[in-house]
Amino acid sequence: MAEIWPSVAGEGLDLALGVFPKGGANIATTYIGLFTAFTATTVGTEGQSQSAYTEVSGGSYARQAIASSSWGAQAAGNGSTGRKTTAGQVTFPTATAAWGTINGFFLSDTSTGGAAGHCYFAANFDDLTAIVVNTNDIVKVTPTIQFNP
Amino acid sequence: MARCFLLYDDGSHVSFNEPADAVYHLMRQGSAGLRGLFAEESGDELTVRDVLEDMVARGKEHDDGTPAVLAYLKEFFHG
Repeated sequence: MAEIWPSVAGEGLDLALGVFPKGGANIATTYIGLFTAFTATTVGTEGQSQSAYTEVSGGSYARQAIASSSWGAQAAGNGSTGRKTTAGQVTFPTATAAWGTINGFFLSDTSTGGAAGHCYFAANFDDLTAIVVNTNDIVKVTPTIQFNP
Repeated sequence: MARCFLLYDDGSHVSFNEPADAVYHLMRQGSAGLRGLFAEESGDELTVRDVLEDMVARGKEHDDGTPAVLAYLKEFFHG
């Protein structure tokens, strides 16, 4: 499992504010990707966008779609405060070449890799440990988003 | 061909940038609970012909793994 903190990406905060209270449209489909940038214990700053999140490339890597129905009911957050929702486990394709060292994941609005689209949220893995993906490995992530007051 | 995804009976799915990656995934992970391979944009189920044509278009017809790939295609996909 991994947690996402809303202060990570300014684009994510803009999206939330755009829906409430501004009544704007939500994104059509959420995609999850894996980043190799930063470290196992750090992510980008609020001002950094998708281009800062260097992503896995090649080796059959592909971003995965997460349907809105996959996200569970809102529940008490981890720790003493906040609210969270957790999606079903996401499975990435079997790696056909080494993917390198992955420090976490992000949520975007596009299926295209690279710097396309927006990075709404990003997080390291719960155990704050990078994963090294080699040929024939499979990465599985169960993403959680938590908002703290 | 655009992205595609393997759909399983429990509703889970795995997306791929090209069908050949889906076939490789099946060869390594098996096909338990597999419902089929579908185009992400149209939702249409892909046939053996679709997959092969995409592989040829990408210049993968001479891959060493082609015979095994063909065997899996015939076993798991229609058309």
